[in-house]
Amino acid sequence: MSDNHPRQVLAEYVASGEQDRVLGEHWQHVRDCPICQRDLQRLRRVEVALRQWPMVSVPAMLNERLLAAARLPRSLEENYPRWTIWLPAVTVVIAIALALLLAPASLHVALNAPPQAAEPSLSFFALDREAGLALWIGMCVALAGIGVTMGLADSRMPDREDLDVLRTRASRAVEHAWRVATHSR
Amino acid sequence: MPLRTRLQPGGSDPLAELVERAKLGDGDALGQIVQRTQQWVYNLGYRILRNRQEAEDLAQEVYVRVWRALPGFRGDSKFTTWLHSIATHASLNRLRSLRRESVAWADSDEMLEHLLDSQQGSESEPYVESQDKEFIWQQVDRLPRKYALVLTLFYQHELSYQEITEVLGLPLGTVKAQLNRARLALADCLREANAE
Repeated sequence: MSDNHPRQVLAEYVASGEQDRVLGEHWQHVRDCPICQRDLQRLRRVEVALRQWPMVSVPAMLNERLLAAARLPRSLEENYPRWTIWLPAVTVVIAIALALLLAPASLHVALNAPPQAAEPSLSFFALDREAGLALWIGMCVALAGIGVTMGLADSRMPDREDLDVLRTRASRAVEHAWRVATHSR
Repeated sequence: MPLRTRLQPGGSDPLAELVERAKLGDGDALGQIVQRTQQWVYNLGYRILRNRQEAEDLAQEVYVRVWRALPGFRGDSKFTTWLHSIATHASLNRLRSLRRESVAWADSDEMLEHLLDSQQGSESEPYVESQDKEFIWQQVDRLPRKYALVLTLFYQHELSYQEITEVLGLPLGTVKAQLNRARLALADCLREANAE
């Protein structure tokens, strides 16, 4: 509201049409003030225009596209329920835990064994001890990485904005491919 | 089928039955919901993003979210209010990610205050009414988006004040004030155009 003219009040008055409740003490000023009267006229024109303001027209193909997109995600979740993510993740975690529990003993045995004569062998611990240890640790880290990655991927699902974009793009790609395939026949 | 359903404040939700069916996986019900509400979603996206292609992509994302979240919809608010809320927030998130106008939302109240503080009146009003309308509709797209948004929800989508407060998460007084400021800004656009 400006210092001299109750412009906010005028705007509300024009929208509501309730003179007594809205204008109240300002009524006499508005009646006698030429600036407020001109404001009032313009606000009435704005109100008339806004009440006839049309919505933008929807593109012709949008309906089909929306239906295709709307039906896709839930069927994806039906095909890939959450347990399909959690079960492998839990399995990997258990495997890593077992590996970490069992590995030190077997490695300890292998590392403390007396050096044998150099014989060609394909066994795991026939490798150089340090190399074997590094390989073992590498496998554990890789398995842990897979488990963590899967876990993180699942924990991101409640946010889902990236997934939404990905699925939207995927559905558009499928839709485009379908059109190309059907037109090429 | 009419795309535009007047939303009666406090009235029953005209889509309630379809929503219940869609929650159970009824694809036909979902199709009808999409058909009856897509213009709202598209129009809202267009008013915020001001780009038809972006509005199409946004509409698609909105229905993906709706379809997935529908089983969890408890009906505490009307479906249309819930849909508007999803569409509004998705539009604003998209707008932020696009970063087309870094200050448009944050907001360009300076421009609006400049308009509101201007006290010059014009002597003549040469515009005929049909020109007024076109001109005013065009000017909405020049307003800060938060004003365009409340105007869209109130005048085009015919949501009640209460529904707008639910969609935007704003107090009733703030919604009314934003609407009034938007009306005044448009009135000032008229005045400036007539003064030229």
